[in-house]
Amino acid sequence: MSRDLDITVKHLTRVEGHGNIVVDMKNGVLHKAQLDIVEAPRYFEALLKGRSFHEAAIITSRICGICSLGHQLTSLKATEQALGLAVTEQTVLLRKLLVHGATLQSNILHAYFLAAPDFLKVKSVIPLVGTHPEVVLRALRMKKLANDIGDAVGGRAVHPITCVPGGFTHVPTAATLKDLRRKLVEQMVPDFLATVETVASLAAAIPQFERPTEYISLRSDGDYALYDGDICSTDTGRVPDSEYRRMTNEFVVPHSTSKHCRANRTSYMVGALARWNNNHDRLCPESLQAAAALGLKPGCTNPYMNTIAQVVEAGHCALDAVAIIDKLLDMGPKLETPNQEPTRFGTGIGSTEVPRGILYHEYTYDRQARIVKANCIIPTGQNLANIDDDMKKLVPEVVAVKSKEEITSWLEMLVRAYDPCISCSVHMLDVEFLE
Amino acid sequence: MKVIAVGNAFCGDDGVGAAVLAQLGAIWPADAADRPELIDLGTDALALVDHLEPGGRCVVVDAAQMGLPPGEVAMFRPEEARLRIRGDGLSLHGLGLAEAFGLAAHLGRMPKDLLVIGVEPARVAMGSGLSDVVAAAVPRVVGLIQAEVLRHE
Repeated sequence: MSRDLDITVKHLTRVEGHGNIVVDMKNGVLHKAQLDIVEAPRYFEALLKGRSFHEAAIITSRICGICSLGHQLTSLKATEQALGLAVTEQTVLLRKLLVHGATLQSNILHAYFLAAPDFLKVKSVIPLVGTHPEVVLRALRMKKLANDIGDAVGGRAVHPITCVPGGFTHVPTAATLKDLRRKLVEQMVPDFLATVETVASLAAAIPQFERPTEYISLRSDGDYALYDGDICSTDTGRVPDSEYRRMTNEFVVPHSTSKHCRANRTSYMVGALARWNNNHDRLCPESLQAAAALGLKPGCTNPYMNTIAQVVEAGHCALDAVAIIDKLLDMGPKLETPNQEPTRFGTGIGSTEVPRGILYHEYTYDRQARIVKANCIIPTGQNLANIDDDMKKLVPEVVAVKSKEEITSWLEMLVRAYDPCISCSVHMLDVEFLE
Repeated sequence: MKVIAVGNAFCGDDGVGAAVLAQLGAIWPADAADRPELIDLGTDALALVDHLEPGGRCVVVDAAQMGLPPGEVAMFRPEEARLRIRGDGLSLHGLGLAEAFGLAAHLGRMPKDLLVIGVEPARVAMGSGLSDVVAAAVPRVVGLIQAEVLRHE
């Protein structure tokens, strides 16, 4: 039995930032087990100061390429609350459709591009093209169709251009919606069912590890809360999102340039597993069947199951997207003038479930509808303390029975299960010319 | 022909591709027959795979760390360079153009006629606006693309 363990997984390949896994155990005593985040803080809160309410969502959607839609909608909700801009039922439905597309895309990419290589013990998705081409093609097909939702409703999938404060500048035609609906039913739903089968065949590779923690997500009375809801904790129940500061309590730690968060314990978890634990009763039957097939039960405390919860949720996004399209078709999509006449100038909070968990934006506007103060709390910041707590429980449990390589692999898989938004704002090529 | 830009327009010189597309868009009338298809992938580099087809012609514009002085422009074919996979493997946020090219190659989707135009960045910190040297490089990139369009007429 080894009583010393020294693991440092450095990810220095990225220019702007990186996450290092650091474990230090001496004589069986764990001194350190944590995810170091070293990245240039993004000064977008300062960037927002003085900007008009038309610009806020455009700027914040650029914070992150993967989470652009989530930032945009959360920003719009904060602005609309601050300025007293009511939106129509059609706007809410179109936004919910966008959220489904973005969640579907992210969850599917996570399962196929991050988790599947782990389960199959390869380094990335690229070798899978050779061994499992149909699986990779399915992943790309699903990603493309999820993108198509964004294209049809948002004008384009990344950094959508049609969503503005108070509504939409363009709405999809009935024909476009019907075409999307057909593709969702004929292609996405069968692909989802095939995904469940594929994941079920690999699920034995998911590490068995339990650590009960506090799970926080949005919850609403009507539907499976993604676009809107109260803040719901498995420890203390529901509170309105105006209490988000009390439910996040940001604090600074030495090993991370990103702030950590806590609510009722030393840490809490946000994301698909938290949503599952709080809202499984709101999922569609197909998703509940998928959960049963994949061994996901209510009250799940294995963080590695976050990936499974994402797959389960993807089915709901696909099927609820169909239901939303049906509603829109019933109403008859019509171009409405966005409501951009402020009725007040104050502070507003937007909270939305993005793929990695709850995202909060809070803005205060002056009487010229310019931002004087902005605050933004991203899901990854909320999960960091929880990841550290997971590592501190996991390492002592496995140190005696697993090799250093196995432990390292489990720790990397753990971080991947959360899919942290560590460094995402730059997408440069790194080129070495061949002689 | 497709001209595809990748990058974050709110991240300094990473937005060089979007700036090139904006200039190209102003050169050809929207209905011109020889107008290339202009595609801004923003930060979804992986979507490149959806836009590549073996028979197509394609120019990809991106900020690139090439070890050249800032503002220098290089045009090359993917096989003339090693594109390092820079993803940290820990999150989806690391997926970039190198992975997209890798996937496209393995899927047999790489166009024979594909050029990459890289612009060496000076500054990639959060905040809008290109650095002076990279802004000065934009017309040179536009010129290279115009020449490519003409070459095939």
